[in-house]
Amino acid sequence: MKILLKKKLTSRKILMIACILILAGYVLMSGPGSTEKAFNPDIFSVRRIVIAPLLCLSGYILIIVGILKYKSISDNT
Amino acid sequence: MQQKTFQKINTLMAWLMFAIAAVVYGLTVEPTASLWDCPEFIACGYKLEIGHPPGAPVFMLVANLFAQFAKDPSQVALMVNLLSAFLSAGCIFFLFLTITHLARRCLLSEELRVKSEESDPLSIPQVITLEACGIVGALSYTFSDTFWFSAVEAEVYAFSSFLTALMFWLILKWEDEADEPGSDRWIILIAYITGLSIGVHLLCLLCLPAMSYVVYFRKTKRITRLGMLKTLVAGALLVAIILYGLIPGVVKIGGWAELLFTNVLHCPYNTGLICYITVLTCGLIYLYYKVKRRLAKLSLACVLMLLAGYSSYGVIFIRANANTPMCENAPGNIFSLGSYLNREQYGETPLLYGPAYCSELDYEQKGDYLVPKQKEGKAIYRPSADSTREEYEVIRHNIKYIYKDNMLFPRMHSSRHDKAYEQWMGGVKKKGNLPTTLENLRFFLSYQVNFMYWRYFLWNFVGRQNNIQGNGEVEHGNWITGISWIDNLLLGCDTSKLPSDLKENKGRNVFYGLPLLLGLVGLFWQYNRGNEGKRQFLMVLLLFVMTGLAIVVYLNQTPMQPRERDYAYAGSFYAFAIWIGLGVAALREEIRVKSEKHKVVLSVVVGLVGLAIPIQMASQTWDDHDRSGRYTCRDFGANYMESTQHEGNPIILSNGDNDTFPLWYNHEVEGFRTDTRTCNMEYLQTDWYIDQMKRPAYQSPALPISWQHKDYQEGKMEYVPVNIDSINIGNMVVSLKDKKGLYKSELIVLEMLMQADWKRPVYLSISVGSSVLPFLRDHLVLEGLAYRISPTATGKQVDVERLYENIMHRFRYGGLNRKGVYVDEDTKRLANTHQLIMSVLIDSLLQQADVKRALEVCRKWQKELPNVNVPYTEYALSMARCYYLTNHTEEADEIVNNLLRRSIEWLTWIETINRRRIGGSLHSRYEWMQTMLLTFSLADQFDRKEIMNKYRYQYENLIKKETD
Repeated sequence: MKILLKKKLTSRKILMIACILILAGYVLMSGPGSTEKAFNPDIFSVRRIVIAPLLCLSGYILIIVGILKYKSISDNT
Repeated sequence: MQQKTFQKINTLMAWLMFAIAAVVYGLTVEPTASLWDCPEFIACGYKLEIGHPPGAPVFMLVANLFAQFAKDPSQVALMVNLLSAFLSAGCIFFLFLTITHLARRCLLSEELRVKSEESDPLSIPQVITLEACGIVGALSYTFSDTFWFSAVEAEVYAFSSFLTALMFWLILKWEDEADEPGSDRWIILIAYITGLSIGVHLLCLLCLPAMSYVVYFRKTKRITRLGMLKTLVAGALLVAIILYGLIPGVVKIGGWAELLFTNVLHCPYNTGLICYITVLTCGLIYLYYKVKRRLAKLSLACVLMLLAGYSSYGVIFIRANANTPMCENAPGNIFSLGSYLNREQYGETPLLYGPAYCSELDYEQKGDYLVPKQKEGKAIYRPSADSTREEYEVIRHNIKYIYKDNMLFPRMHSSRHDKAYEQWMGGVKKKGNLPTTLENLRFFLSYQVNFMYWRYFLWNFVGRQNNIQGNGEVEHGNWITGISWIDNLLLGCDTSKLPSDLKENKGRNVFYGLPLLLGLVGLFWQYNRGNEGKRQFLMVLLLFVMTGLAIVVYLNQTPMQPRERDYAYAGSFYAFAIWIGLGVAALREEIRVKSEKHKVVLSVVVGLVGLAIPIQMASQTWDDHDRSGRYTCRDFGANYMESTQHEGNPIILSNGDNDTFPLWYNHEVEGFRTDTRTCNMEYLQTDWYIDQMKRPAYQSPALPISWQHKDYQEGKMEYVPVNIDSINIGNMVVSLKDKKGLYKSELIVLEMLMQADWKRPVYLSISVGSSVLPFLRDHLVLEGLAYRISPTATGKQVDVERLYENIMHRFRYGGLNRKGVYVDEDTKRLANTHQLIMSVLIDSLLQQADVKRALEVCRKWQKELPNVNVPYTEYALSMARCYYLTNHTEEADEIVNNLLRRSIEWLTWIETINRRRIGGSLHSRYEWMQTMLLTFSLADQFDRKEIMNKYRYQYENLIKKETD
């Protein structure tokens, strides 16, 4: 039995936001590394080892929230 | 009582348990990094570096969060330790809820309620009993040895215990709501947590079979034997599919995508990977919306969530590409990541079929030679070493040797441990080139099951002998009860004559078997509570076995492990704690009273009696788990680096993991002596580590290695035969007479020395075994905890000035002079190493007739490493000699008396050991005999007649016995 809902379910929204957070975190975490020529102190910059992991972690935790808001499989979520 | 009220009380109690556990662990947490892998994990969390395979990205992210609360870098370790404490308290929280959930269903199952004519299902006495079950079970686990050990240090085991407890509780929550429409979210959440747990430790997968039984019992219309068997197989298959299918498979297909896009379509690196991940995710989401059937939708949602959790490995991939200073296996491309995840560096252990330790290789004719038969396995790809091209090349193929002799279920498989196997077994009966099936089984049962599992179990619930690692000898690491006549039989000795060292050992915890008894009572009671009880029993039993004996089978452990491995089995002790909790209900139910008031009183009394058990446990286990005020890992690691000079960017060569990680901690987390570089000899055999050594790090320039990656790549230069007698490095002649060949790591060291041309100092840590770099042993100068490799040294010399400066002014001693500090075996050994170089310094100073400074070193010794925390060893005799020479006779006598008393105590006790079992203790006997002889001869040398007369009788008796 399919139940079509007019309003978008918040569970899907939350999961999408979580994905975006995680991706943003990974993008911010990336960058050039140390090479044989020089040590790159930027690999330990605030952007890469504080902000980025916090974004990733909040994304991963938000997924839990998203799952808990999940109403039912039979609803078209 | 109303259901709602009960829930409120229950939840409140659970939070109380959480608070108690959090306070206990918070108070006893180590204030800095702990030995051994913890410094690595702390650096991984704080600075997102890459630790040993298979890595723990989820742990890294959460540890990173906790590290932000540190005021300064020296507090980071404490914060990560508090993470373990916090999550362990969370585990206790869920344990409480699990126990009360199970106890309630056992106490109040429909059929039994009717039988006992209970009118009000949640009467006050029953609520009291339920809460008491939870409290006693939860607190017993809180104060148990193994769990507490992992709760106060920065390792993944606390986190993994938390996730296991969470997952188990979630399935019980699902069971409660299984008929409601929203119940699917619990299953999906469990799938997600499972995915996350891959990024912590794979142990969490082991609770899946127990959980599949919950699903079966709840959803099936009729319970049949066949159905239960099918569920067991399904549960085991689920674990196998995730472990052997999903985790390596996802990465393998990623590898194919990379090969397609980069090698065939000539796209830049990682294009294939990004396309693959996008296609996989979108494909699964599309399927999810397309599919109509509920079960299929649920399965797809679970797979998606599992992969979502697994995606946390992106952290590892991205950070490996940053080339962090600590970056084990450099998993920065999909192929290295694959080998990192599969823990390929640790080798394979055969499970179902394979060679034994004494199996012979199969040989075949190849031209004029006989070569071992090989089977070429899969190709190993790596990005091209040529940085102008973006292409994956095959660097080598996996080679598997073929053995002539193979057997089923080989338990003694490692050829490197042949002597260890024979020693443990007391000789192995063989049939041809294989141990007989009976011998195989004997090893499995006596060592792997009994010694390496049941011993740990009994440590936690019956009693533990001491905190010294054991290999079967009577004096170390056995389980005991605390009841002397039983222990005398168990150990085969007279425990009343135990030397004071062992009697006072803080790791000696005796519970008189009470927790075990209560747990068994709970176990039998649960089994006999009708169908509900039997179902629960099966679930808990499966959890117990999967996280206990199943791991034993899977690991196929070899003897002579570097440390005790009880931390791996915390899950099965969790399961047993459930039974301990249920034991309270069992005791309560056995006693019947008529009046309501009596029922309440009885419940309270039984609860209090049960509570006595965890309280007694705490009284025993507190002293050997309270790590407060101990800074030895950090300070001793720093001391190794401070042994090097401040100029010239020294390099210090260390042995392996254990003596490298404390140094890494100082570098990576506290930024101490970042002008130096630690070079781990074990890792120097690998190409990824040599790459890292060739990069600068902080203020330390790249190591002087002129060879290129293609020269030392994996598979090349692993072992090179040598046919010259010596090499000249500058004006130093290194003799290679006894060396048939040189390993890659040794070649790199020689190359470094050659290129450095004595302008950059290279040190050898004293922890490096004498079999490593033997050709350098004649060119060393002791400056602290490391030797400087010196072209002008002849034999082993001591730089007295540098050694004095280091010991007296530069070194720190980790709070070992603090009253009551907990000194475990490893810390004691490191302290003894410091005492060794102190004794060398004292002897050298006395040789130079510098008595004033020799005395200063003695004072420093007594001040920083006092006998009350670090008992005297024979090294202290140097100190005694110095005291005698400077007329501090009383202080010297104190040392001599102490050593004689203790060695005689030990030797007298060893004499009481049963002849059958004394074999393992011969080593201890030899050592104490040496100590006794040396001490006696020192007393003789300085004419200490009184002391000699005091001990002469016992001394001569023991000498006589030794020579008999």
